[in-house]
Order: sequence, then structure tokens, then C-alpha cells
Amino acid sequence: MRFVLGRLGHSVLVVVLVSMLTFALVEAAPGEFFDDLRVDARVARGTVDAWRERAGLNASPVSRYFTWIQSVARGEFGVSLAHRAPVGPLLWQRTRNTLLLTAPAMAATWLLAVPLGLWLAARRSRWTDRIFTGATSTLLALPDLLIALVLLLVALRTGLFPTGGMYSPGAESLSAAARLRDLATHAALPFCALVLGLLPVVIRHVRASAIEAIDAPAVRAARAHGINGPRLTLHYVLPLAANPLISLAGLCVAMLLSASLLIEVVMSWPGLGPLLVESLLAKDVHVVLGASMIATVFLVVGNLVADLALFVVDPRVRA
Amino acid sequence: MTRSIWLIPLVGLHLLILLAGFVAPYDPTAQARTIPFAPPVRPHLFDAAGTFHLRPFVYAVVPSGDGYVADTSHRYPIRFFTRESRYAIVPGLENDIHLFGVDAPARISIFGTDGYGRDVLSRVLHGARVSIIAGLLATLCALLAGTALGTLAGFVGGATDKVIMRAADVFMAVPWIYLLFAVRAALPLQIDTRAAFLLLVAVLGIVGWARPSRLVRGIVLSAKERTYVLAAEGFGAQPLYVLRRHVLPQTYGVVLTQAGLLVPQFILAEVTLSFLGLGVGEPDASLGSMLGTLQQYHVLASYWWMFAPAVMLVLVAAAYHALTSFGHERARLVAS
Amino acid sequence: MPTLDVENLTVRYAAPRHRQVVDGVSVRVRAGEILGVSGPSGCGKSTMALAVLGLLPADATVTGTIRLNGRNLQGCSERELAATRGRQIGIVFQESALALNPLRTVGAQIADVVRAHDHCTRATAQARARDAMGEVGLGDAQERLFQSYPHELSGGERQRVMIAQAVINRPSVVIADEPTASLDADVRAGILQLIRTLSAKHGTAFVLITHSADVLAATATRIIEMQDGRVVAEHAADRSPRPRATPASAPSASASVSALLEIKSGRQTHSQRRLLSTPHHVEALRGANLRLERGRAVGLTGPSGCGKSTLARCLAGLEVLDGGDILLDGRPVTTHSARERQQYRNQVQLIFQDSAASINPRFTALDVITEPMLVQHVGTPGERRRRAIALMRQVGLPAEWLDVRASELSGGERQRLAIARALSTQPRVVILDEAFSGLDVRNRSRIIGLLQALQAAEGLTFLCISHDAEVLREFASEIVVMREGRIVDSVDVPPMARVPA
Repeated sequence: MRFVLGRLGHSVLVVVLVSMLTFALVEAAPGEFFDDLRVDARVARGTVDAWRERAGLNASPVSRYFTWIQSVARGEFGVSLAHRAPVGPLLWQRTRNTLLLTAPAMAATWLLAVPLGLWLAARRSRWTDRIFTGATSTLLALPDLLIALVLLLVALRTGLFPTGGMYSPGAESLSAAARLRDLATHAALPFCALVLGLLPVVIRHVRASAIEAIDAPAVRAARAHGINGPRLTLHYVLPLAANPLISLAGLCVAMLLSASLLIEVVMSWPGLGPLLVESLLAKDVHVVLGASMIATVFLVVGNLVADLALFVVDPRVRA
Repeated sequence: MTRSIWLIPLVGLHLLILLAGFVAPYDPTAQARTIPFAPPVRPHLFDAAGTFHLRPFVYAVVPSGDGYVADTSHRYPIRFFTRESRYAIVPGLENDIHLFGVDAPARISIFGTDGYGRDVLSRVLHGARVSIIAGLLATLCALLAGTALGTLAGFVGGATDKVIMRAADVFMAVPWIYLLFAVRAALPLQIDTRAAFLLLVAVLGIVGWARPSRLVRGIVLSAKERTYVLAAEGFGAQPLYVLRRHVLPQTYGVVLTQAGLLVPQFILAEVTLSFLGLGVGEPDASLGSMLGTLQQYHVLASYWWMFAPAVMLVLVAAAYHALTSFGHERARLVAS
Repeated sequence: MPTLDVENLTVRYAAPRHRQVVDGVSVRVRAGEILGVSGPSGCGKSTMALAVLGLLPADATVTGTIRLNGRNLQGCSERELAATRGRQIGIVFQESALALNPLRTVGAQIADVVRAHDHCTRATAQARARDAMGEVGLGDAQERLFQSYPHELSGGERQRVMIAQAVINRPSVVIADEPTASLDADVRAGILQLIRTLSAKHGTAFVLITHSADVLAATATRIIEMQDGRVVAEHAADRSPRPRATPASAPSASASVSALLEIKSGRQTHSQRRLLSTPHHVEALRGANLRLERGRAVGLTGPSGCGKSTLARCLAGLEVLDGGDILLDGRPVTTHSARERQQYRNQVQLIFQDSAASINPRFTALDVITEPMLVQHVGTPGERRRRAIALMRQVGLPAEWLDVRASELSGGERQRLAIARALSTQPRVVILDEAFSGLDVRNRSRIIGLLQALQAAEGLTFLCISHDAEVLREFASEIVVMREGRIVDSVDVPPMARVPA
């Protein structure tokens, strides 16, 4: 129990420190949202100053930080200067869209990688090893950017998939089932891009961990006692292989978040990625902060869950 | 060992790219507005009449209707060590001899031209040079900072250790692309090339110090507890001696593996930033900004040769992967 | 008919080098026999055991016949072999910490062996597991142990669990590979007694692989010796008791001879920082008293955790006593200035247990030997090199090996290197902390011979710490017993009982 509280406390501390770090980074940025307006001769100086005052940009950094924290606590996450509305609802919507892509991608990757990795680890021959290493190396060498662009090309050429966006125009008028299908066809390509990027990494680790587990003295001893088959795999190999894989799962959350940013931008999927990029270019401070914080919270939560899982699975950690 | 064969492409690729000015037939920023998006020019050995020529040659490309057609009336043989635009391999060492080229007005654009008629191959080579140098320098920064801080944390311990590791936690808690953007946002958006490049390197270095420092710290912690360190201290060894002779050599392996992993990552990071317009931009050649044009559907659909920067990226990534797997092979053999 | 009949067994590996690990070994074991297999490390004992079980990696080529109860195992499929493992032939591994699944309770692991061979319910398997635990002497704490994980058990308990796994299906033969190697003397005796009992009760044949002569003497009925993959000797065990040292009625107190090195009422407390709970204090030394007289070799023994290593480190000046005094030449060691501390450490040198750990594997022999001189700024590089050559000769290592990396030396050679390094500061006392535990019999005798020669030539005083009393009897003239941070007994070793190297 102490362990759980300790990790929880640590995670909260990290999130708070990250909020300060990102706030400081964004603060350090030269220029601000109203720069363009300032240069525009048609706009009176006084108007810009008044807007700045209203947006609270004249206050000191520390007080601005606390104002923002209070806004976060209220769920508003500050005010978007470009949209002139609280950032909160915008963030939630975009986060939901990103999750629609990344959660299935994570699940699909692991559902494919674990059985495949275990199977490959059990059947070790020169041929399967060579083909496996070759295939994964090829996939690993392909940057996410390239995969996304190629898939986009496929969409353009074949016309089977839409080339961007989340819904077709006029999707609101469709029936629920049709809307779901529409969503699925739009999500298919980004989903594939994410999985293709993540799968080779995970499957390599699963296979490596499984091989190490199979070669472990404890498994050899169990085989020496005649234990084999499903009992050996389930009670001996898998638990021994699980430890490094649980840590990997935590890392996967980070990798998926980073990969999805780029893929969303390339494929025009309205998630956190494009939001971050737009707001960065526009210097819409609160949106940048909000998006970074949400991503961080997901990462920290992912790691926390992984640590807790380790705690549950490995009795040595509990000791 | 046959495995060392894999180092040859890596070294060869780097040489090729570092000598970009020499290998590329044209200046990467030289425009030719008359032939935008011209397809790749093929070298021929047989001319229109079917005669064989020993020296390969090309035809000039002429706009015709919506596309281009080769003008078979005149042959332009490929010459080596031609004189073209000036370039500098390193600042101060200028030259104007290029590996190969053809006489004007033909252009030997092996990978075609982009929207401004600039030779894609030249731009790819120069852009790759920027990316690779950025990747190498950034890795150097990140590893220097990471090793120094990790060694400090592990060796000194106590409060220093806690502070440094907490900072590492914070830096690793943000998904790296988000951190990259946040740090990038802290710097001016529009900057000139030289400054942009250095800024990029600094940004990547700042983002990347955390994981290496954690790994180095782990190694230093376990090395510190080794019996031979205890023995050396018993003989009267000073901490700096122990650090230098016993502890730091243990970190070399990890640092090298990290380098093999970080360089391609940082190269990719630079490309990503440039792709989104936040890195090296026009008119300089940059793999990222070149790939950025592919976001326009008509370019994506019709001009396949604009994928050339991606091919270069894949080659570089593959070469570094071969390096790391070579390293793993070596480590395995040494251990067994 | 012999239970296990191995004939002309050879095991060959093709990669990484072509080598023959087992070369034409023929062994027969009958029911109720306890066959001891001894030999230096690397002679092929364990490989032979794994070959019988069919557990060698795929790149090993095994030829010969292995008959178990008349049936040739060589021609069997993997499935048939799996059916015999744990059922007709059992195995007990050496490192119990590794051979048990750390993520599964001990009771479940024993029950697994039952369910692998019999289709019975979980409850039945668990009941049989409990019975087996009782049979191997774990009956008292059975409930607690059944639900425990391996890391919560002591070494002896874990070893008994492995024996339970091996015998639960009443196999005809059990192979035990160094079953007592990492155990203390009294725990070891218990395990060997258990093996004898099981053998007598069920008529199980045992193949006991060990390099310890004591274990063989205590347990085996017949002994074969292996070397370089071949059987070189075979004979019935000599059960005659080895000459035991006669305990002295009082500790040898020659008050006229002043001790060279002495510790009085030594106290030392280690505090272990646990992650989120209160720090754990362990009193390693609780008033330890020890006298080392000039020119003598004293042995120190005791169960693990009694404080031997702490005592060694305090005497060597590597750790500071919390209470009590250390006297050198009758005068308290002043621990004030760093220079005086260093001078003291130079005079009392410590040779560590694991020679591989106490020497940086990347260092050359020269680096290792000259490190103390280098660090204390003694002599020029040329002078240091000459001294190193002399020291190498003194410990019996060829001078040409000065530039060889330590990682390329064998265990015995590294230990000599450590001794040479210790001698470089011209010490008067040398403390050996379990310095022989990793070595096989041959190397051990050689090192002991070296130490005896040094004792005679240089007049060195030795304190030899070991949990293996056999080693101490070969070398020391007096054995001191330690328990729970205190010296509790002292025994003289008569010169006749000492086995010459």
C-alpha cells in the first residue's frame, strides 16, 4: 500500500514540475499572439493594449502561472486567444479523437505481438530468425513520416480510403451505423500507420523476452521435472517474460503519443497533434500548455499503471 | 568477421553525404523556373537511331503540353569532374569541380526537379548533410550532458543524485515530440539558416540528455560498488582516480549504444521539425521541407520522385540499425 | 539390472569451437546406491547429467546409449523424454535461487511436478505436495512455506523444496548436481542426511555430483572421478572418519608472546536503508575478541551472517569499528590522520572472496599489481614494473604475463594476482576472506602451498576466513569459531591432521 501511495505521489509531483517547465518554456518564447495585430496599421495601439490587459498578459509570470493552474482546476485550462473560448472543451474533443486512434492501435499491436513473439521464440531456426530480423529491420528503418505519406498515396491512388479528416462532409445526417462506418474508413489509414510503426518494436521485445525466459534456469529446471506444454508457457515462461514487457508497455504509451502527433498532422486527423502545431505557430499560449499537459498526464499515468502492474505481478517487488 | 561488412555502407553513406557539394551535380538553391517538376532524366547508351555509344548520354528535356518530352535531336554526353557552381566542403575550402555533369542547356537531374526547377538529387544530398551533421552534433551534446550529469548523480549521490534524477524524470515524462515542440517554441520561430541549424542542435541536445543520464547513472552506481573499487580505495585511491580508471570505462559501452540509437532519432527529429516548417526552411535544402511539399495532393499523386528524401532517410536509418545490431553481435560474442 | 546404465557417452559441440566435453563415459548405478561423481570444474560432470536427461541445447551432438530401467533413452522422442523426466528420473540443481520460479509459490511448483505426469485434480496434487514437503523435513512450517515465494525461504529450505520436486513421483534414480554447494556446514549435513534417508527408504538410486571430498565421504557408497570428460578412477567410498582435531580444553593463551594484531570488544552496526520503511539495523559485531600471533595462520569459521566478513574488513581498515579497539603490536591503531590510516592498511592486507570481482577485468596484470604503488606515488614507473616482475615470480606467475588482461586469466591465476597485489605493500598480516571458495581442489592446494611458502619465507601472519572447515584444517594451526558477532570457540589443529598440499 505504501508502494502505491509512493508512486502516486511521485507521479503527481512530476506532473506539477512538468507544468512549471512547459510554462517556463512557453514564457521564454519571444513574441506573442498579438504581435501581428500590433504591426497592423489599421488597429489602434490602445485597442491592442486593452486586449492584452483583458487577456491578462500584463501580469507577472508567477501570477499568470497560478491563474492558469486555477483555471486548470476548474477544467477550463485557460482561454484560447485564437478561438476566444476556454481551452478545456477544445482539448477534450481533440483528446478524444487522439484516443480513438491510439487506444485501438495499442491494443491491436499487443494482441498481434504477444502470440506472434511467443510463437517465434518457441520455434527458433535459422530461417525464421533471418526472415524475422529482416522484416522487422526493414519496418524499423521506415520513418513514421514515410509510412504516413505512402499510405496517403495509397488512399489517393486507390480511392478506397478517404485522404484525411475524421468524417466525410455531411456525416451528421447519416444513420448511426453509417456514421460508424464512415469513421472507421477515415480512421483506418492512421491506425495502420501507428500499428506499422509500433509493431516491429514490440514484437522484437516480446520475442527477446520470451527467448530469455525460455532459456532461464527456472524454466530449464521445470522442463527437467517434465513440466511442458501450455502449463510451462502459462505459469513459467510468460510470467518470467512479463517483467520487461510491462515496462515496455509504459514506454509504448510515450511512443504512440509522439507518433500520433505526426501522423495526425499528415493525415489531417483532428487530434492533439494538429492542435499543438497550429497553436504553436500562432503562439496561442494556453492551448500549447494544455495540449502538452494532457500528453504528459497520459504518459505519467501509463507509467504508473505499468509500475503498479509490476507490483502485482512480481512478488519480489512487494517484498 | 562478415558482420563488419555492414559498416561499409554506413561509412560510405557518410562520406557521400559529407562530400555533398562535390557529388551533387548542381547548386541546391539554383532554380530553373522553366522546368518545374521535371521527371528524372535517364542516361542512355543507345540513341534514337539505335547506335551504341560508349559514353552514356542524356537528352534535354523540353516542356510539351502538360508534361515534358525528351528532345532526341541532340546528345549530351555525361562528363566527369565538370565545372559548375561553387561550393565549400568546409568553410574556407572552396571548389567548383563536381563529380559528374552535362553541358548546358541539358540538365542531368537523375531524380528530377522540384517545384522551382531545382535538382532534387542535389537538394537531397545537401539536405541529408544538414540532417546528419545536426544529428551527430545533437547526439554529441546530449551524450556529453547526459554522461556528465549521470556520472555526477551516481558518483556523488545524495541530494545531487535526487535533484538530477528528478529533473530527468520531468524531462522523460513529456512525450519527446511534445517536449521538442515546447522547447522549439521557446526559441524564435523565424530564424536564418546558420542560427537555425545551431538552435536545432541545441534543442535536440536539451531534449535528449535524460535517458542517457539515467543509464550512465545506473552503471556508475553498480561500478562504484564493485569489489575492485573497494580494494582500490583500500590502497588509498582518490575519488578522481577511481572515477577515471575504474568507473568511467564501464560507461563507454552504454554511451556507444546510445549514440547508435540517438543519431537516427535526432536526424528524424530534425526532419520532422523541418517538415512542419519549424526547422531548416526555404530556400535551403532540407529533407523535411522537401517532404513537406508532398502534403499537397497534386504533388503526392503525380510526382513520385519527390519521395527521394524519404529514400535517403531510410538508407541512413538502415545504416545505423546495422551499426547497432553489429554492436550487439560484438557484445554477445565477447560475453560468451 | 542396473537402474541407470550409461555406455560410451560422448557429447560434442561444434560451435563456437569444436570440443568434446564428454568422451566415452560409461557409468552404472544400481538401486539404493549413492554414486558420487567428482572432478575439477569443467570435467564434464554436469554435461553428463544434462545429457542423460536430454536437456542439452540443440547444437550438442550426443552419442552412446543411456538405458533407464532397461529402456534406451537415446531413441526416444521429446514427448517420451518429457514423460520420463520428473517421473522415472529426477534432478536436483545447484543454485536453488535460480532453479525455482521466483514468481510462483513453492507449493504450486511442487504440485506442478505432480500434475505434469498425473491427471489429477488440483486438490490432490496439492495434498501430495504437502506430503512431499513433510517427507523432506519441511513439515513443521508447512503451511507457511506452501504459500511462500522462493525468495522468502532460506537456502536450506529451498534446497529441500527442490528435493521434494525431484522425489515426489518416486523416480528410480535422482541426479543431484552440487546440491549443497552454497550451503553452510550444518545445513549441508541436514541435506546429505535427507538424501541418505530417501535412498534407504525408497531404494532410489542417487547420482551425487560434487567436487567436495567431504560430501562424498559422508554420503556416497561408490565414487567415480572424472577429468577432461573421461572417467579416470572408480572405487568404493572410504567411510572411515577423517582425523578430527582434538578440541583444546582452553583457548591457547600464551601470555608471554604478545599478539601482532588484536581486536578487543569490536562492535559494528550496519544500517540498511529500506525503501519506504524505518532503517533496519543489523549488529554485525557484538564484542568480538581475536588475537593473531606473529607468524601463525589462524582460521576463522562460522555460519553465514555471523559477521566474519565484517570482522575482516574492520581488521583491514576498510570499515571503522563503532566500538572497541584494534591493536597492532600492542598499541591501539590511531585512526586519526589519513596517512596513518593508509600505513595501517598497508600492513594489514585483505584478499577478497571473489578474485574476479576484486580485480578490474580490463586491467593488465601489471596495472593490477602496481595499483597500490601507483596510488600511493611510490617509485617511478620503471621501478614499479621491476617490483611487479619480482612479485609475479614470487606468486608463481610467469613474468611474460604482465601485459595480459586480467579477464583472460583463470580463477586460480587471478587469485595469485590478488595475492601479489597485496604483497606489493609489504604487509605483515594477510587476511583471506573466503579466498578459496570459487576454486576447485587442485587450484586450492596450489594456492595453499603458495601461502605456506610465503609464511615460511616472509614470516607473514595469516587470518583465513572460510565456511569450509576442511580448507582451514589444511592451512591453519588454530581455528576460531564465530557466531552472531562474537568469537565463541577456539580449536587447535594438530600438525598431523593438516593435509599437506
